[in-house]
Amino acid sequence: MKTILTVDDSPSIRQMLAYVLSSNGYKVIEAEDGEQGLEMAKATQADLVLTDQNMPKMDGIALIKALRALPNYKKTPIMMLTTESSQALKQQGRDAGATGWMVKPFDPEKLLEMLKRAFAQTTA
Amino acid sequence: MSTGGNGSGNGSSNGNGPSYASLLALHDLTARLSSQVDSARREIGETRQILKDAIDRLMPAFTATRSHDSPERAINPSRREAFSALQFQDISDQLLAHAQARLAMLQQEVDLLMNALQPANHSADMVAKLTALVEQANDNLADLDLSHLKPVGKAHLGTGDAELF
Repeated sequence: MKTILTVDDSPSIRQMLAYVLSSNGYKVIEAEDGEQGLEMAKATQADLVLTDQNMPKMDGIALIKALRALPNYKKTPIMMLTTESSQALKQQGRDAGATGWMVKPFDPEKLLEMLKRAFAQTTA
Repeated sequence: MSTGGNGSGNGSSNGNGPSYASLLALHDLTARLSSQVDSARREIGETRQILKDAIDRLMPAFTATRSHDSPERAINPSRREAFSALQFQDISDQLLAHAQARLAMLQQEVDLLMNALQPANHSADMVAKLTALVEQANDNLADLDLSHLKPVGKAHLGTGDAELF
């Protein structure tokens, strides 16, 4: 069973993600900001990280940079799931090492499809 | 109470600065503005709390029916739509938080003006003091426009784009 770390300061978004992902056979661990996400990623090896951008303490792009600095997260897919859709910010995410970008509100089926593609890209 | 050096307190001006009466009227205006902005901030805060409470009550009932869905197609079409709609609480909350931050900044500027206009703070160099305050307020408001860019571009209930890099 693949483990997905979701990082979002909105409890309702975390609940929705947990529902969608666990209903589809993923194990879900949750963090409510970038700092907590980083600690959880160090404690448990996630197979994929799904993170929001605007969060207290540490934002999504800072989290991606911190994760990419860890040897065991160099190739792990990291997806942004955010209300932000500006090209400039997407480019920052890409430069930081994001694997993909999804704009909220997310469609559950589209999200699952994207995760499958991200996993396939990693193993290819 | 002396104002602009006239010291009369009768509303007249010595010709070099604002009269006591006009400063008092401005002070009352800024006090009313501050009160209105404060009320708007509180009302936005209450709206955010109401939205949050509604979602907090709705989500457990919504996700509790997980076992009724088939594992092969966990999200039925009506639930997909509901998922998208429910996420607008999160999006609305971000917009409301930005509006609150803007109002907080506005209130800070209005309160600075209000304090400067308080009769106890009137002085001979009121015009210079007020000019400096207005300049500072204009700078702060310009910074506010730069630092509080609207974070949410969604104007409809459609779902967002997705791309792999």
